[in-house]
Amino acid sequence: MVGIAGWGAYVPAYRVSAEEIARHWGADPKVPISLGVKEKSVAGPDEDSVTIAWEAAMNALARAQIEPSEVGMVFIGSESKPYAVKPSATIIADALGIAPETMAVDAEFACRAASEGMRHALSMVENGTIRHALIIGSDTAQGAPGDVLEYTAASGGAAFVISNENVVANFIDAYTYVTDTPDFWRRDGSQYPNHGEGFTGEPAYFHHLVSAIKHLMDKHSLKPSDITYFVPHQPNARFPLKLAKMLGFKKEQVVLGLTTADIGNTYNASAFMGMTRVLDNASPGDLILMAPFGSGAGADAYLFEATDRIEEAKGLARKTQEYFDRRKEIDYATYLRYRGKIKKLVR
Amino acid sequence: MEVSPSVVWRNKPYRYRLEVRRCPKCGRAFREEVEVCPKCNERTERVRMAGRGKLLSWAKVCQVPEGFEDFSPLYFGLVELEDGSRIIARLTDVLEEPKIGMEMEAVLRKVRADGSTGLIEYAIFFRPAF
Ligand SMILES: [Zn+2]
Repeated sequence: MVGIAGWGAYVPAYRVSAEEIARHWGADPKVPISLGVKEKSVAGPDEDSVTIAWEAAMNALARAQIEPSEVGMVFIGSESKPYAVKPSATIIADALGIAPETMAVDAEFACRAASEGMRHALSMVENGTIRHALIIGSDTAQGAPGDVLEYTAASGGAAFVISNENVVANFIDAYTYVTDTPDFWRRDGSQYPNHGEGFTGEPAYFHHLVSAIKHLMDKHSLKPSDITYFVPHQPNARFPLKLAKMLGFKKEQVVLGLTTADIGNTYNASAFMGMTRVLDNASPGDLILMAPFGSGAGADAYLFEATDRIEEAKGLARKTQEYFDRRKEIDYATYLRYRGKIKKLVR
Repeated sequence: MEVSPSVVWRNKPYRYRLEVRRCPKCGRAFREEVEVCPKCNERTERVRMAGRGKLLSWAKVCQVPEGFEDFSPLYFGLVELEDGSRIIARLTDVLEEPKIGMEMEAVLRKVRADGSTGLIEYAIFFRPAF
């Protein structure tokens, strides 16, 4: 049966606190408090979405216990590609020893490009086109200085190996729901995204996720209490809890996968990151509902059931929480420098 | 052009995967694609070095070369890998002062970027294991 064979995360070591960002701008500290994100992860000066993807993928491959050269597709979803034109997927495929006999894709769909890859991978592995696929969500998310996004736009990556072999979570079903919704965008050549105020919540995040999740649960006659862990996209720590309440999930079903509360929103790795921490802790038989969302807009709902192999796979790579616990706080000026927002003018 | 496409392309095996060509007779390793050992005249074999090791020595560079300002200060380390090879590599995620003998692990990082329009160079660095 097709499913997830390996999972892995990576989070940079640096953190900037919401309090520090608010202090710098003389902003009301109640704003970040209402978002539920105390601090966010920041990529170091030598990190980008490619290097972040590399380490998340290394961890996923280690847990899957497969030969890198047998991976038939490397699919990376990111909205912070180092190159506008030149694939990240080939750099990753070459650095991991997967190239040259593989497909390699870079995709963009705000925060759900990588999830689109997971849907492709599941069906391609299931029908035998490829043996294994490597799906990576990786971002060094951009928030314009002073924008409310600056409190949550974080850096991190999460990866999954999709296969028929060594499966740790059987794939049961998935459903996708998309419409043209102007909630968040970044024009070509522009450095920072814009968001349609008041459009990001109800018509975008909640409508698409509720539609996708309800359809999947109704199809399988599932009640919220049948699900062990619910892992939705998490732009902040408030939306997922509100969504859970709307759908009838309890807080206990959400918090393990609510990793944005620890490190901020890692965009393409947002729900994926939560999923990695859930898999780090899940038991055989647990039913997991993962639901990524991307602006523009679309949502996917997936049902997975953990297998017996999950126990032995857990120890084969570093746990997501270990990356959260390795942290060095930096001030706002260092954050600006690390993200290339200020440059040295004199040598 | 600061970062040469041909150099980046040629250095991929060593810089992306720590792969070297090793002489089966004398054991000498080459970072470049040296197919025959100049000393023994033996055909070299492609081997991948270990991704973990111990720090033998390190240096911190604050007066960095042009093009490296974003990464200052730079750390370099002499690392003895688990397979016995000793290499000099950039160190990264140096969150506190490095200690001789500390466990190090290989990670892919950005060496430098050629302005805002040129190539980005990637390579294996070493960071303190945790
Ligand atoms: Zn020789």
